[in-house]
Amino acid sequence: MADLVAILTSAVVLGSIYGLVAIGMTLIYGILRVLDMSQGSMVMAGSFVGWAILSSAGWNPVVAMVVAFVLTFALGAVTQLVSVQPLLGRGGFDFEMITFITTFAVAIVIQNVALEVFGPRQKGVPPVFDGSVEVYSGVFLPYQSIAMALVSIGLMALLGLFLAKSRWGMAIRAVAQDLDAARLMTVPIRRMFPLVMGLASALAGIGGVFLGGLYFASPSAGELPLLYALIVVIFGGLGSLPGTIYAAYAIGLIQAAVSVTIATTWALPILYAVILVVLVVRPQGLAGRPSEARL
Amino acid sequence: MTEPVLDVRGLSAGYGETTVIRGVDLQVNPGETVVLIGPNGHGKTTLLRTISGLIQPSAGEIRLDGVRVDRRRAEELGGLGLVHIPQGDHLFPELTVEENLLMGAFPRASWRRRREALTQAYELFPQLRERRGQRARTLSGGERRQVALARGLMREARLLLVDEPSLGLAPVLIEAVYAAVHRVAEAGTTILLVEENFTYIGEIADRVCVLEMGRIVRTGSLTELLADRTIAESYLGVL
Repeated sequence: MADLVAILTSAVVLGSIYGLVAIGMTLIYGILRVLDMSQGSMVMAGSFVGWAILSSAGWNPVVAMVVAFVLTFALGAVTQLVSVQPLLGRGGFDFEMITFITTFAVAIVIQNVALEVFGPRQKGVPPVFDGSVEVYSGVFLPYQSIAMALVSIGLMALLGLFLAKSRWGMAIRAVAQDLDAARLMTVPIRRMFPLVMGLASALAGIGGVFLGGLYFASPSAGELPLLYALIVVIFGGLGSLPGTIYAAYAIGLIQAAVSVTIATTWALPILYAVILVVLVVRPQGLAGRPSEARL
Repeated sequence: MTEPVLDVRGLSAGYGETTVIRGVDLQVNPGETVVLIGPNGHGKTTLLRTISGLIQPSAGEIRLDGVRVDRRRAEELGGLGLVHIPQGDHLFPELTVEENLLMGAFPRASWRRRREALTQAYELFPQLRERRGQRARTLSGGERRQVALARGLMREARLLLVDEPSLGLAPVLIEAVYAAVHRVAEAGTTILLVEENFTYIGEIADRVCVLEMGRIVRTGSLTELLADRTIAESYLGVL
């Protein structure tokens, strides 16, 4: 029973943070058909914000999240403007492949700027919340993890609400489904694209504040989250928001289950084996639908 | 003399290296319904897509109410009162019927009046009210066409472009679609409509232009064109 509780709590915590970091990538892929490789550096930037603000006494975690949001929003919007916007509507090349590389290039630049500014050493980020609670006999859950899960779920719910209910949210979904028709409805796509990439990056940035508390802030802190986000996004079915969330929790669950019942060291090999099998059987991912190229 | 709502001069456009329309001249006057007739693949859709800014022209001028618009993008032109109901509907497949309609009222000024516009749309197409919560991809072809038309009527159009509203529909449905277009024309909307033949346009066409090989080869009233045997035979349509 303790094992089960441990697996489930850990799955929820892991799944939530994977979901938060990956959902922005799905959003970007949905409207732009860009696999945004700069999302990892947004996590990294967020963890440095967490380090800078939380390690100076008296700063509160809400401020850290707000600053991370604003900073990575701007960083994401600028990334779009330099690496994707100039390529729009030109034709004659493989848009998805080229933007995969251009956003990756921006990520490397950001990473190296961080290296110049902060140096290569890992910096401990104080947890947003200290201490832990015993959820079941022998199963302890750090407050940091609870906060991370709650904030991630809250932000994903807010994003879902925004997309489902607001005028702009509806327009974002419309752009993802039929770009030309959305333009005929007067949706200003050239203004929307950088804003959406900013929003997506800001979610990853807030994720970074928490991940920094679990691991460290360092220039390479975005590499692993980027890899996970890529796997979640593809496993869920490129461009599918519900698929991304299923995939995030599925991956969290597999990882937690293997770690608790077998051994932590087996978590990754078994996870990748499962992903390999699922993708070979169902290459479009859990919730993906075959779709045609568009930009 | 009144200024035309749409004034196209010497317009050429195409895709990449391929020129599809070559030096098209076309005027549509206020309140008029002009029908563009021509065989498949001769540039009717390309002409509409160029007018609405989805394709950038390689030469020529487009004026909307006297204002040059040939370098504007589609998303800007919509704000100037151009409404384009595209060929093949282009609905948003995962949005509901009502959300599709609401997208038609996306510009801020129209958004404020979206409730009244929805009520009007459901009056014109009562079937859509029953389907309002259904995703567009689950609709039948006739229902989709209704959504496409209704979505185009959600905001006020200075110029309405309609691309082959009969495409792929059974004759009885086509008649219903044209009845709707007719009502819109009667209300005074300026319309440029594309069709492949004369079968359904008798009621609505004030003027007909024939587009062949990317050029407008004849313009006149339907009666005038029907008097020309070669044209009449080409475009009477087989049913």
